[in-house]
Amino acid sequence: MNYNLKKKGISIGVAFLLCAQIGVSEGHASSDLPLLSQVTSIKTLKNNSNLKSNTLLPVSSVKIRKFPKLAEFTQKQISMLSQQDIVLNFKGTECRFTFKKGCIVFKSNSTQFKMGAVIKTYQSTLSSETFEETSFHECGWCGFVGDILAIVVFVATAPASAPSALLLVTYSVGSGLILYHA
Amino acid sequence: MLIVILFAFELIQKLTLKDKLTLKQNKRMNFGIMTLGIMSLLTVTFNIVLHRGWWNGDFFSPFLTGFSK
Repeated sequence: MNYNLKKKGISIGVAFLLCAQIGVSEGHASSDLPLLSQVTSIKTLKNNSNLKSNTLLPVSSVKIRKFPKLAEFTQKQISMLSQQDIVLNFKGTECRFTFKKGCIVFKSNSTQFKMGAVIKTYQSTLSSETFEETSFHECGWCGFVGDILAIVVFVATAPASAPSALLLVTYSVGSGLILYHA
Repeated sequence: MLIVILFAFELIQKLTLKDKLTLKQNKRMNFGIMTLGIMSLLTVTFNIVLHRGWWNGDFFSPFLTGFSK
């Protein structure tokens, strides 16, 4: 499934007709995050042409199944999503976040979700995986530290007689390499 | 890979100098072989699994930052 949720740190669980487990991709790191999403309610507008959030008048609400309550969006998050014009692509629809309860379908190729339908959305998890991915790739000094640790362990634990030969060999090889590249 | 070479050196020393070592030296060497062995095992595993190249001596950062490629 393709979701255009660009903002890092927020994953969104979407209520949809068939109860399924979906992964929401946000950024590059958390594409494999499984989020439990479920049907709670789908509200439809009487007048589909009027899409402004302050004029929404849901005419029907169908409660299909109840699940443990997930966290709803805060007003701050909604305004952030709205300001950045973040759109949710869901089952052939494009949905815009304007208020806390859900997002409003403003483009639809689906027969299930008409224009103006409200898809209820939940904030499912706060992701911190971007830290892991980037810090791993940027850890250029970790290899150096690992090698230094190994040398320290070797020098500390190897018997005194043998390392002199090793020292001589490594010193010669090292000097040779440096002189060769000079 | 440097870790593996050092581990191999120490292992060879252990085998060749087996009878000449004192008890203290022997204990210290066992510790060194164990430590370098674990380090080299982790390094080689991470280098293969994470496709980092043979000469990467980083054996600890995946524990801190995750095992993703």
